[in-house]
Amino acid sequence: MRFPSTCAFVLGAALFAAPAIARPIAYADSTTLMTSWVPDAEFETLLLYAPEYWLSFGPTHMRVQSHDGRHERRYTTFRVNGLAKRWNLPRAQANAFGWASLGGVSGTGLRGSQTVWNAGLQLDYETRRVYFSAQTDWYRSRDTRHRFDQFQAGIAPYEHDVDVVATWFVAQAERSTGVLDEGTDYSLLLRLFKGTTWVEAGVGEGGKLVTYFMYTF
Amino acid sequence: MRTLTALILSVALACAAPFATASTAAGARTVEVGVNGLVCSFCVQGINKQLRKFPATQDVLVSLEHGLVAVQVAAGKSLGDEQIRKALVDAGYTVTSIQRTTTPLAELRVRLAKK
Repeated sequence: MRFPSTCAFVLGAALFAAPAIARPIAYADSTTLMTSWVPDAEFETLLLYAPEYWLSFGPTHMRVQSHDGRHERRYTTFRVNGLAKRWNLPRAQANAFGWASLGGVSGTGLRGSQTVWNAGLQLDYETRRVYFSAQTDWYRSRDTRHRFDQFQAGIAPYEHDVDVVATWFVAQAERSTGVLDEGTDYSLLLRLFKGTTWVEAGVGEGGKLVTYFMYTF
Repeated sequence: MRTLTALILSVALACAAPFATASTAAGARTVEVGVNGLVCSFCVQGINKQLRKFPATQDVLVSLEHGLVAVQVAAGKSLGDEQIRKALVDAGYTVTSIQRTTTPLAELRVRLAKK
């Protein structure tokens, strides 16, 4: 059975509407819970343990649905993230991350439950006033092939320090290519974090709400 | 007479020197470390977690603004520069300088806040 192209487009748009993981490794000996939620479209959660500052791993689950709620896909994987290189500068930091995951995907339009793998790369640069991130993410299963590219640029209205809430205005561009969807989406996000709590919310194309939450313990 | 006075003074200073050094070392319980790569609160949490693993650590101060990590060593305990350097490198940061001072961490916090 071939997946209806309209539904495929809607699912594809929902699948990659949420913001990607800001930074896949928090710090050594930490566990991080991350969730992203786009109402009526997508819910994703990850639980990552980092034994070192350059390594984290853990289970992930993502559920996406079409806007009419009739079609759904579920991805469950185990993911490993690595920090390939870090540049520590006097008032800045840059990182090169890579990751890979393996698991299963099931749902509408697929010929049964399938093995899915994923691999990605992220480069970022951050000071206390500006933030840039570029990311590419690839998914493959028997019936799905998808590539997702994202660029984020953020600016902070003030330089935060310890015990001060950090505020960022982030502009995001996402390009999806593959069998499900083709196109570029733009979003504006407000990012707040203090201590080990990170909250992000914004609007995407068509006023679509995008939310993201992260807590490290 | 002048020579004798100079000799007595020299002997007195020589005897007092070891005590002076010991006093300074005992008082220098704050280690101030210059660190590159400090940009966000995750840096602060990670560094705190690493440095507080040492039983000798009494308190930790991290200033993103000044690129500074300061450790207060508990009285009667010791914490080597290399231990601190390794902890920070293991946390993912680059150490640029280490110096020991007698400034209490509480005072250092106030001083940094004013800058």
